[in-house]
Amino acid sequence: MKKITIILALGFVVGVGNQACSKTLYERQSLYHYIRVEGSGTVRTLHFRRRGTEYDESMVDIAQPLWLGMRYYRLMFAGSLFVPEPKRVLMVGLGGGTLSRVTAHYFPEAVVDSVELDPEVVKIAEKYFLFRQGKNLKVFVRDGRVHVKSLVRRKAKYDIILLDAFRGGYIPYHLTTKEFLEECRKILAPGGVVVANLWDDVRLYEYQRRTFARVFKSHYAFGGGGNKILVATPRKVNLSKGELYERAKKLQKRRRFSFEMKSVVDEYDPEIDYPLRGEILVDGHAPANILRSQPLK
Amino acid sequence: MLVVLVFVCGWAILSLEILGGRILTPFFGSDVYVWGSVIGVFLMSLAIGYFLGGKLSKRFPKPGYLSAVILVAAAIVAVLPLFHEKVNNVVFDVMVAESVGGERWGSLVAASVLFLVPMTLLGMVSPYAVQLAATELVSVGEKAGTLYAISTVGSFLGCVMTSFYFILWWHTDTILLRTAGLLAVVALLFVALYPRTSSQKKGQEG
Repeated sequence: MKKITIILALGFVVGVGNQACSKTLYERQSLYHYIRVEGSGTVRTLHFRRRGTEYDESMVDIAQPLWLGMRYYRLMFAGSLFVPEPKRVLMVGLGGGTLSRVTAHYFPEAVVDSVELDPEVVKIAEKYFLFRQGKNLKVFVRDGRVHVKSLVRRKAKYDIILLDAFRGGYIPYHLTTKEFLEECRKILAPGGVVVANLWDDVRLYEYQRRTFARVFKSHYAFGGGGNKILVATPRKVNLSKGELYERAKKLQKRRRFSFEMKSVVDEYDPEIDYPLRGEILVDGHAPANILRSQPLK
Repeated sequence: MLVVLVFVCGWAILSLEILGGRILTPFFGSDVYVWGSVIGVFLMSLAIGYFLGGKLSKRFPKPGYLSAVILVAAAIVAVLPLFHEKVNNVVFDVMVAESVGGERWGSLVAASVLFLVPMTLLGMVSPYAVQLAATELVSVGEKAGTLYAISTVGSFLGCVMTSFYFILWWHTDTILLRTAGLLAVVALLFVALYPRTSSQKKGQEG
Protein backbone atom coordinates (compact mmCIF):
# COMPACT_ATOMS: atom_id res chain seq x y z
CA MET A 1 0.00 0.00 0.00
CA LYS A 2 1.51 3.21 -1.01
CA LYS A 3 2.20 6.19 -1.18
CA ILE A 4 1.91 9.84 -0.95
CA THR A 5 -0.64 11.99 -2.63
CA ILE A 6 -0.52 15.26 -0.80
CA ILE A 7 -3.72 17.21 -0.70
CA LEU A 8 -2.73 20.62 -1.89
CA ALA A 9 -3.88 23.66 -0.02
CA LEU A 10 -5.97 24.80 -2.95
CA GLY A 11 -8.08 21.75 -2.50
CA PHE A 12 -7.46 19.84 -5.65
CA VAL A 13 -6.15 16.34 -5.53
CA VAL A 14 -3.29 15.03 -7.57
CA GLY A 15 -5.18 12.98 -10.08
CA VAL A 16 -5.08 9.32 -10.84
CA GLY A 17 -4.65 8.22 -14.43
CA ASN A 18 -5.85 10.58 -17.08
CA GLN A 19 -9.47 10.90 -16.06
CA ALA A 20 -10.15 14.53 -15.56
CA CYS A 21 -12.57 14.67 -12.67
CA SER A 22 -12.42 12.65 -9.51
CA LYS A 23 -14.92 12.51 -6.74
CA THR A 24 -15.14 11.16 -3.26
CA LEU A 25 -17.33 8.06 -3.07
CA TYR A 26 -16.88 7.43 0.61
CA GLU A 27 -15.27 9.28 3.47
CA ARG A 28 -15.30 8.33 7.10
CA GLN A 29 -13.23 7.98 10.21
CA SER A 30 -13.28 4.31 11.13
CA LEU A 31 -12.04 2.92 14.42
CA TYR A 32 -8.54 2.87 12.97
CA HIS A 33 -8.25 5.06 9.92
CA TYR A 34 -9.51 8.17 8.24
CA ILE A 35 -10.69 6.47 5.08
CA ARG A 36 -11.51 8.01 1.73
CA VAL A 37 -12.48 6.21 -1.45
CA GLU A 38 -11.94 8.26 -4.54
CA GLY A 39 -13.52 7.52 -7.88
CA SER A 40 -12.09 8.79 -11.13
CA GLY A 41 -13.84 7.36 -14.15
CA THR A 42 -13.79 3.63 -13.57
CA VAL A 43 -10.75 3.78 -11.31
CA ARG A 44 -11.19 3.71 -7.55
CA THR A 45 -8.50 4.44 -5.03
CA LEU A 46 -8.52 3.74 -1.31
CA HIS A 47 -6.77 6.40 0.79
CA PHE A 48 -5.92 6.44 4.44
CA ARG A 49 -5.20 9.93 5.67
CA ARG A 50 -2.68 10.72 8.34
CA ARG A 51 -1.47 14.15 9.37
CA GLY A 52 -2.79 15.85 6.28
CA THR A 53 -1.14 13.36 3.95
CA GLU A 54 -3.10 10.80 2.01
CA TYR A 55 -1.56 7.43 1.47
CA ASP A 56 -2.83 5.37 -1.44
CA GLU A 57 -3.57 1.95 -0.07
CA SER A 58 -5.32 0.19 -2.88
CA MET A 59 -6.61 0.66 -6.40
CA VAL A 60 -9.04 -0.97 -8.77
CA ASP A 61 -10.38 -0.31 -12.24
CA ILE A 62 -13.90 -1.68 -12.20
CA ALA A 63 -13.85 -1.89 -16.00
CA GLN A 64 -10.75 -4.11 -15.90
CA PRO A 65 -10.79 -6.04 -12.65
CA LEU A 66 -7.37 -7.60 -13.28
CA TRP A 67 -5.60 -4.30 -13.86
CA LEU A 68 -2.82 -3.84 -11.33
CA GLY A 69 -2.89 -0.09 -10.91
CA MET A 70 -0.25 0.32 -8.28
CA ARG A 71 3.30 -0.20 -9.35
CA TYR A 72 4.20 -2.50 -6.49
CA TYR A 73 1.23 -4.88 -7.03
CA ARG A 74 2.96 -6.61 -9.92
CA LEU A 75 6.12 -7.03 -7.87
CA MET A 76 4.18 -8.71 -5.06
CA PHE A 77 3.73 -11.61 -7.49
CA ALA A 78 7.49 -12.25 -7.31
CA GLY A 79 6.73 -14.85 -4.63
CA SER A 80 5.29 -17.14 -7.29
CA LEU A 81 8.71 -17.27 -9.00
CA PHE A 82 9.78 -19.26 -5.95
CA VAL A 83 6.53 -21.12 -5.34
CA PRO A 84 4.95 -21.57 -8.77
CA GLU A 85 2.16 -23.80 -7.47
CA PRO A 86 1.04 -22.26 -4.17
CA LYS A 87 -1.74 -24.09 -2.37
CA ARG A 88 -2.17 -21.64 0.49
CA VAL A 89 -1.49 -17.92 0.51
CA LEU A 90 -1.74 -15.56 3.50
CA MET A 91 -2.12 -11.83 3.00
CA VAL A 92 -1.48 -9.62 6.04
CA GLY A 93 -3.24 -6.29 5.41
CA LEU A 94 -6.21 -6.46 3.04
CA GLY A 95 -6.73 -2.86 1.95
CA GLY A 96 -9.05 -2.83 -1.05
CA GLY A 97 -8.38 -6.52 -1.45
CA THR A 98 -7.06 -6.14 -5.00
CA LEU A 99 -3.92 -8.19 -4.40
CA SER A 100 -5.80 -10.99 -2.63
CA ARG A 101 -8.52 -11.03 -5.27
CA VAL A 102 -6.15 -11.03 -8.25
CA THR A 103 -3.93 -13.65 -6.60
CA ALA A 104 -6.98 -15.88 -6.14
CA HIS A 105 -7.84 -15.30 -9.81
CA TYR A 106 -4.47 -16.38 -11.17
CA PHE A 107 -4.08 -19.23 -8.69
CA PRO A 108 -7.62 -20.63 -8.64
CA GLU A 109 -6.51 -23.85 -6.96
CA ALA A 110 -5.06 -21.94 -4.02
CA VAL A 111 -6.74 -20.83 -0.81
CA VAL A 112 -6.08 -17.13 -0.24
CA ASP A 113 -6.61 -16.04 3.36
CA SER A 114 -6.34 -12.39 4.32
CA VAL A 115 -6.14 -10.81 7.73
CA GLU A 116 -7.31 -7.23 8.21
CA LEU A 117 -7.52 -5.19 11.38
CA ASP A 118 -10.31 -2.84 10.38
CA PRO A 119 -13.79 -4.30 9.73
CA GLU A 120 -14.72 -1.09 7.89
CA VAL A 121 -11.91 -1.71 5.39
CA VAL A 122 -13.36 -5.16 4.64
CA LYS A 123 -16.77 -3.60 3.99
CA ILE A 124 -15.24 -1.02 1.67
CA ALA A 125 -13.26 -3.68 -0.21
CA GLU A 126 -16.54 -5.50 -0.83
CA LYS A 127 -18.55 -2.43 -1.71
CA TYR A 128 -16.11 -0.49 -3.88
CA PHE A 129 -13.23 -2.76 -4.86
CA LEU A 130 -14.92 -5.83 -6.36
CA PHE A 131 -13.76 -7.95 -3.47
CA ARG A 132 -15.97 -10.96 -2.75
CA GLN A 133 -15.31 -13.45 -0.02
CA GLY A 134 -15.73 -17.04 -1.01
CA LYS A 135 -14.51 -20.54 -0.33
CA ASN A 136 -10.99 -19.75 -1.53
CA LEU A 137 -10.93 -16.09 -0.56
CA LYS A 138 -11.50 -15.42 3.12
CA VAL A 139 -10.85 -12.50 5.42
CA PHE A 140 -10.14 -12.74 9.12
CA VAL A 141 -10.77 -9.49 10.96
CA ARG A 142 -8.01 -9.37 13.49
CA ASP A 143 -4.67 -7.86 14.32
CA GLY A 144 -2.10 -9.41 11.96
CA ARG A 145 0.30 -10.32 14.72
CA VAL A 146 -2.39 -11.93 16.87
CA HIS A 147 -3.65 -13.89 13.86
CA VAL A 148 -0.22 -15.15 12.82
CA LYS A 149 0.57 -16.14 16.39
CA SER A 150 -2.62 -18.17 16.61
CA LEU A 151 -1.79 -19.78 13.25
CA VAL A 152 1.52 -20.85 14.77
CA ARG A 153 -0.37 -22.48 17.63
CA ARG A 154 -2.67 -24.23 15.17
CA LYS A 155 0.33 -25.39 13.15
CA ALA A 156 -1.16 -23.89 10.00
CA LYS A 157 1.09 -23.76 6.92
CA TYR A 158 1.21 -21.34 4.02
CA ASP A 159 3.27 -21.39 0.83
CA ILE A 160 3.33 -17.64 0.37
CA ILE A 161 2.88 -15.01 3.09
CA LEU A 162 2.42 -11.45 1.83
CA LEU A 163 3.16 -8.69 4.32
CA ASP A 164 1.51 -5.41 3.41
CA ALA A 165 0.06 -3.87 6.57
CA PHE A 166 0.23 -0.12 6.92
CA ARG A 167 -2.01 2.36 8.61
CA GLY A 168 -1.72 5.39 6.39
CA GLY A 169 2.00 5.77 6.69
CA TYR A 170 2.03 4.46 10.23
CA ILE A 171 3.83 1.16 10.53
CA PRO A 172 2.44 -1.26 13.11
CA TYR A 173 5.75 -1.85 14.89
CA HIS A 174 4.81 -5.30 16.14
CA LEU A 175 4.65 -6.45 12.51
CA THR A 176 8.29 -5.52 11.87
CA THR A 177 10.13 -7.39 14.60
CA LYS A 178 12.35 -10.44 14.56
CA GLU A 179 9.84 -12.28 16.74
CA PHE A 180 7.05 -11.60 14.23
CA LEU A 181 9.16 -12.77 11.30
CA GLU A 182 10.02 -15.91 13.24
CA GLU A 183 6.33 -16.56 13.70
CA CYS A 184 5.84 -16.11 9.96
CA ARG A 185 8.68 -18.54 9.32
CA LYS A 186 7.01 -21.10 11.55
CA ILE A 187 3.85 -21.10 9.45
CA LEU A 188 5.69 -21.46 6.15
CA ALA A 189 5.22 -24.76 4.35
CA PRO A 190 8.46 -26.38 3.11
CA GLY A 191 9.78 -24.23 0.26
CA GLY A 192 7.49 -21.37 1.25
CA VAL A 193 8.38 -17.68 1.03
CA VAL A 194 7.56 -14.43 2.77
CA VAL A 195 6.98 -11.48 0.46
CA ALA A 196 7.17 -8.07 2.12
CA ASN A 197 6.39 -4.60 0.85
CA LEU A 198 9.08 -2.30 2.28
CA TRP A 199 9.67 1.41 1.87
CA ASP A 200 13.27 1.70 0.79
CA ASP A 201 13.67 5.45 1.15
CA VAL A 202 13.59 5.60 4.95
CA ARG A 203 16.00 4.51 7.68
CA LEU A 204 13.52 1.83 8.79
CA TYR A 205 14.34 -0.06 5.57
CA GLU A 206 17.87 -0.83 6.73
CA TYR A 207 16.61 -2.12 10.06
CA GLN A 208 13.97 -4.24 8.37
CA ARG A 209 16.46 -5.73 5.94
CA ARG A 210 18.81 -6.66 8.78
CA THR A 211 15.92 -8.13 10.74
CA PHE A 212 14.87 -10.22 7.72
CA ALA A 213 18.51 -11.28 7.26
CA ARG A 214 18.53 -12.55 10.84
CA VAL A 215 15.47 -14.75 10.34
CA PHE A 216 15.71 -15.83 6.69
CA LYS A 217 18.58 -17.33 4.71
CA SER A 218 17.96 -15.98 1.22
CA HIS A 219 16.61 -12.64 0.09
CA TYR A 220 15.58 -11.42 -3.32
CA ALA A 221 14.66 -7.76 -3.69
CA PHE A 222 12.56 -6.37 -6.52
CA GLY A 223 11.90 -2.77 -7.50
CA GLY A 224 13.04 0.24 -5.53
CA GLY A 225 12.74 3.97 -5.38
CA GLY A 226 9.82 3.89 -3.00
CA ASN A 227 8.56 0.36 -2.68
CA LYS A 228 10.96 -2.50 -2.52
CA ILE A 229 9.50 -5.96 -2.52
CA LEU A 230 11.50 -8.51 -0.60
CA VAL A 231 11.11 -12.24 -1.09
CA ALA A 232 12.65 -14.14 1.81
CA THR A 233 13.13 -17.87 2.26
CA PRO A 234 14.02 -19.81 5.43
CA ARG A 235 16.50 -21.98 3.52
CA LYS A 236 19.24 -21.05 1.13
CA VAL A 237 17.92 -20.66 -2.40
CA ASN A 238 20.32 -19.97 -5.23
CA LEU A 239 18.73 -18.63 -8.36
CA SER A 240 20.47 -16.50 -10.94
CA LYS A 241 18.68 -13.76 -12.81
CA GLY A 242 18.75 -16.06 -15.84
CA GLU A 243 16.99 -18.80 -13.89
CA LEU A 244 14.42 -16.32 -12.64
CA TYR A 245 13.73 -15.36 -16.27
CA GLU A 246 13.28 -19.03 -17.10
CA ARG A 247 10.78 -19.42 -14.30
CA ALA A 248 9.00 -16.20 -15.25
CA LYS A 249 8.57 -17.50 -18.78
CA LYS A 250 7.04 -20.80 -17.63
CA LEU A 251 4.85 -19.04 -15.12
CA GLN A 252 3.61 -16.55 -17.67
CA LYS A 253 2.67 -19.39 -20.02
CA ARG A 254 0.85 -21.31 -17.35
CA ARG A 255 -0.90 -18.43 -15.54
CA ARG A 256 -1.42 -15.90 -18.32
CA PHE A 257 -0.93 -12.85 -16.15
CA SER A 258 -2.26 -9.54 -17.45
CA PHE A 259 1.22 -8.15 -16.84
CA GLU A 260 4.55 -9.52 -17.97
CA MET A 261 6.17 -11.65 -15.28
CA LYS A 262 9.42 -10.96 -17.11
CA SER A 263 9.09 -7.30 -16.16
CA VAL A 264 9.13 -8.32 -12.49
CA VAL A 265 12.43 -10.10 -12.99
CA ASP A 266 13.70 -7.02 -14.86
CA GLU A 267 13.38 -5.24 -11.55
CA TYR A 268 15.29 -7.87 -9.58
CA ASP A 269 17.99 -6.02 -7.68
CA PRO A 270 20.70 -8.27 -6.22
CA GLU A 271 22.66 -5.36 -4.79
CA ILE A 272 22.99 -5.21 -1.01
CA ASP A 273 21.74 -1.70 -0.38
CA TYR A 274 21.86 -1.60 3.41
CA PRO A 275 24.59 -1.80 6.06
CA LEU A 276 24.85 -5.42 7.21
CA ARG A 277 26.01 -4.45 10.66
CA GLY A 278 23.72 -2.60 12.97
CA GLU A 279 20.65 -2.93 15.11
CA ILE A 280 17.65 -5.04 14.26
CA LEU A 281 14.03 -4.69 15.34
CA VAL A 282 12.87 -6.81 18.28
CA ASP A 283 9.64 -6.76 20.28
CA GLY A 284 11.36 -5.03 23.18
CA HIS A 285 12.92 -2.37 20.98
CA ALA A 286 11.35 -1.42 17.67
CA PRO A 287 11.13 2.35 17.18
CA ALA A 288 9.64 1.73 13.75
CA ASN A 289 7.81 4.99 13.25
CA ILE A 290 10.72 7.22 14.21
CA LEU A 291 12.92 5.27 11.79
CA ARG A 292 10.24 5.57 9.15
CA SER A 293 10.30 9.34 9.50
CA GLN A 294 14.05 9.51 8.83
CA PRO A 295 14.71 9.69 5.11
CA LEU A 296 17.72 7.94 3.59
CA LYS A 297 19.90 10.12 1.41
CA MET B 1 12.97 13.44 51.06
CA LEU B 2 9.30 12.50 51.07
CA VAL B 3 8.92 14.77 48.08
CA VAL B 4 11.59 12.89 46.12
CA LEU B 5 10.01 9.60 47.07
CA VAL B 6 6.52 10.41 45.83
CA PHE B 7 7.93 12.02 42.70
CA VAL B 8 9.91 8.91 41.77
CA CYS B 9 7.02 6.57 42.56
CA GLY B 10 4.69 8.69 40.46
CA TRP B 11 7.25 8.61 37.66
CA ALA B 12 7.58 4.82 37.90
CA ILE B 13 3.84 4.19 37.80
CA LEU B 14 3.24 5.92 34.48
CA SER B 15 6.53 4.80 32.99
CA LEU B 16 5.51 1.22 33.71
CA GLU B 17 2.08 1.84 32.26
CA ILE B 18 3.60 2.83 28.92
CA LEU B 19 5.87 -0.21 29.04
CA GLY B 20 2.84 -2.36 29.86
CA GLY B 21 1.25 -1.45 26.55
CA ARG B 22 4.50 -2.21 24.76
CA ILE B 23 4.81 -5.60 26.46
CA LEU B 24 1.25 -6.69 25.65
CA THR B 25 1.11 -5.53 22.02
CA PRO B 26 3.05 -8.40 20.41
CA PHE B 27 0.56 -10.82 21.95
CA PHE B 28 -2.72 -8.96 21.92
CA GLY B 29 -2.29 -6.34 19.19
CA SER B 30 -1.86 -2.59 19.37
CA ASP B 31 -5.56 -1.95 19.57
CA VAL B 32 -7.31 0.45 21.95
CA TYR B 33 -8.46 -2.44 24.16
CA VAL B 34 -4.84 -3.19 25.02
CA TRP B 35 -4.49 0.35 26.33
CA GLY B 36 -7.88 0.05 27.98
CA SER B 37 -6.70 -3.07 29.79
CA VAL B 38 -3.44 -1.53 30.91
CA ILE B 39 -4.98 1.72 32.10
CA GLY B 40 -7.86 -0.10 33.76
CA VAL B 41 -5.60 -2.50 35.63
CA PHE B 42 -3.34 0.34 36.72
CA LEU B 43 -6.25 2.38 38.07
CA MET B 44 -7.72 -0.62 39.87
CA SER B 45 -4.34 -1.40 41.38
CA LEU B 46 -3.92 2.17 42.53
CA ALA B 47 -7.36 2.09 44.12
CA ILE B 48 -6.45 -1.03 46.08
CA GLY B 49 -3.06 0.48 46.88
CA TYR B 50 -4.54 3.72 48.20
CA PHE B 51 -6.90 1.76 50.43
CA LEU B 52 -4.29 -0.64 51.79
CA GLY B 53 -1.67 2.09 52.04
CA GLY B 54 -3.99 4.15 54.15
CA LYS B 55 -4.72 1.22 56.47
CA LEU B 56 -1.10 0.21 56.78
CA SER B 57 0.06 3.77 57.44
CA LYS B 58 -2.33 3.96 60.37
CA ARG B 59 -0.98 0.79 61.96
CA PHE B 60 2.70 1.29 61.15
CA PRO B 61 3.43 4.96 60.57
CA LYS B 62 7.14 4.45 60.07
CA PRO B 63 9.34 5.23 57.08
CA GLY B 64 10.86 1.76 57.24
CA TYR B 65 7.55 0.14 56.29
CA LEU B 66 7.03 2.52 53.41
CA SER B 67 10.53 1.81 52.21
CA ALA B 68 9.91 -1.93 52.39
CA VAL B 69 6.74 -1.62 50.31
CA ILE B 70 8.66 0.21 47.58
CA LEU B 71 11.54 -2.28 47.70
CA VAL B 72 9.16 -5.18 47.16
CA ALA B 73 7.58 -3.34 44.21
CA ALA B 74 11.06 -2.67 42.80
CA ALA B 75 11.97 -6.34 43.17
CA ILE B 76 8.87 -7.44 41.25
CA VAL B 77 9.51 -4.90 38.49
CA ALA B 78 13.12 -6.10 38.31
CA VAL B 79 12.07 -9.70 37.66
CA LEU B 80 9.29 -8.82 35.18
CA PRO B 81 11.72 -9.24 32.24
CA LEU B 82 12.13 -12.87 33.28
CA PHE B 83 8.49 -13.79 33.04
CA HIS B 84 6.37 -11.29 31.11
CA GLU B 85 6.81 -13.23 27.89
CA LYS B 86 5.94 -16.53 29.56
CA VAL B 87 2.82 -15.06 31.16
CA ASN B 88 1.72 -13.56 27.85
CA ASN B 89 2.32 -16.87 26.10
CA VAL B 90 0.21 -18.81 28.57
CA VAL B 91 -2.63 -16.27 28.50
CA PHE B 92 -2.46 -16.23 24.69
CA ASP B 93 -2.67 -20.02 24.47
CA VAL B 94 -5.56 -20.28 26.88
CA MET B 95 -7.63 -17.25 25.90
CA VAL B 96 -6.68 -16.02 22.46
CA ALA B 97 -5.30 -18.71 20.16
CA GLU B 98 -8.59 -20.52 19.62
CA SER B 99 -11.10 -17.75 20.15
CA VAL B 100 -11.50 -14.72 17.96
CA GLY B 101 -11.95 -11.68 20.14
CA GLY B 102 -10.17 -13.39 23.03
CA GLU B 103 -7.43 -10.78 22.77
CA ARG B 104 -9.61 -8.29 24.65
CA TRP B 105 -10.09 -10.27 27.84
CA GLY B 106 -6.71 -11.87 27.33
CA SER B 107 -4.98 -8.52 27.47
CA LEU B 108 -6.90 -7.64 30.63
CA VAL B 109 -5.89 -10.88 32.31
CA ALA B 110 -2.26 -10.58 31.24
CA ALA B 111 -2.12 -6.95 32.41
CA SER B 112 -3.55 -8.01 35.77
CA VAL B 113 -1.13 -10.87 36.28
CA LEU B 114 1.86 -8.72 35.38
CA PHE B 115 1.01 -5.40 36.99
CA LEU B 116 -1.67 -5.73 39.67
CA VAL B 117 0.72 -6.51 42.53
CA PRO B 118 3.56 -4.05 41.82
CA MET B 119 1.13 -1.24 41.02
CA THR B 120 -0.87 -1.89 44.18
CA LEU B 121 2.34 -1.59 46.16
CA LEU B 122 3.26 1.66 44.42
CA GLY B 123 -0.29 2.93 45.01
CA MET B 124 0.28 2.54 48.75
CA VAL B 125 2.99 5.19 48.68
CA SER B 126 0.85 8.33 48.46
CA PRO B 127 -1.42 7.82 51.50
CA TYR B 128 1.58 6.56 53.43
CA ALA B 129 3.53 9.69 52.55
CA VAL B 130 0.60 11.86 53.64
CA GLN B 131 0.51 10.04 56.96
CA LEU B 132 4.22 10.64 57.53
CA ALA B 133 3.99 14.26 56.45
CA ALA B 134 0.94 15.06 58.55
CA THR B 135 2.41 16.52 61.66
CA GLU B 136 -0.52 18.71 62.55
CA LEU B 137 -4.15 18.31 61.75
CA VAL B 138 -4.76 21.80 60.40
CA SER B 139 -2.39 21.33 57.45
CA VAL B 140 -3.23 17.76 56.41
CA GLY B 141 -5.12 18.88 53.34
CA GLU B 142 -2.32 21.16 52.27
CA LYS B 143 0.35 18.51 52.74
CA ALA B 144 -1.74 15.91 50.92
CA GLY B 145 -2.34 18.34 48.07
CA THR B 146 1.35 19.11 47.69
CA LEU B 147 2.38 15.45 47.74
CA TYR B 148 -0.30 14.40 45.24
CA ALA B 149 0.70 17.25 42.96
CA ILE B 150 4.36 16.24 43.07
CA SER B 151 3.53 12.60 42.56
CA THR B 152 1.39 13.46 39.55
CA VAL B 153 4.04 15.72 38.04
CA GLY B 154 6.37 12.74 38.40
CA SER B 155 3.78 10.60 36.59
CA PHE B 156 3.54 13.14 33.80
CA LEU B 157 7.28 13.24 33.28
CA GLY B 158 7.64 9.46 33.57
CA CYS B 159 4.93 9.02 30.97
CA VAL B 160 6.38 11.54 28.53
CA MET B 161 10.02 10.54 28.93
CA THR B 162 9.21 6.85 28.50
CA SER B 163 6.94 7.19 25.50
CA PHE B 164 8.93 9.93 23.75
CA TYR B 165 12.48 8.85 24.45
CA PHE B 166 13.20 5.74 26.51
CA ILE B 167 11.29 3.47 24.16
CA LEU B 168 13.39 4.77 21.28
CA TRP B 169 16.68 4.54 23.12
CA TRP B 170 16.43 1.34 25.13
CA HIS B 171 14.98 -2.12 25.17
CA THR B 172 11.78 -2.46 27.21
CA ASP B 173 13.49 -4.82 29.66
CA THR B 174 16.32 -2.34 30.15
CA ILE B 175 13.82 0.36 31.06
CA LEU B 176 12.09 -2.02 33.49
CA LEU B 177 15.40 -2.77 35.21
CA ARG B 178 16.38 0.89 35.39
CA THR B 179 13.01 1.84 36.81
CA ALA B 180 13.34 -0.90 39.42
CA GLY B 181 16.83 0.32 40.25
CA LEU B 182 15.64 3.88 40.63
CA LEU B 183 12.83 2.80 42.96
CA ALA B 184 15.20 0.72 45.07
CA VAL B 185 17.79 3.46 45.39
CA VAL B 186 15.21 6.04 46.40
CA ALA B 187 13.58 3.67 48.89
CA LEU B 188 16.94 2.95 50.53
CA LEU B 189 17.97 6.59 50.59
CA PHE B 190 14.63 7.44 52.08
CA VAL B 191 14.91 5.04 54.96
CA ALA B 192 18.52 6.09 55.56
CA LEU B 193 17.92 9.82 55.47
CA TYR B 194 14.41 10.30 56.77
CA PRO B 195 14.50 11.90 60.21
CA ARG B 196 13.42 9.10 62.47
CA THR B 197 12.64 11.22 65.43
CA SER B 198 10.54 13.75 63.64
CA SER B 199 7.19 14.42 65.12
CA GLN B 200 5.31 11.45 63.67
CA LYS B 201 2.67 9.93 65.79
CA LYS B 202 4.13 7.30 67.99
CA GLY B 203 4.03 3.87 66.47
CA GLN B 204 4.07 0.60 68.31
CA GLU B 205 7.63 1.09 69.40
CA GLY B 206 9.49 -1.87 71.00
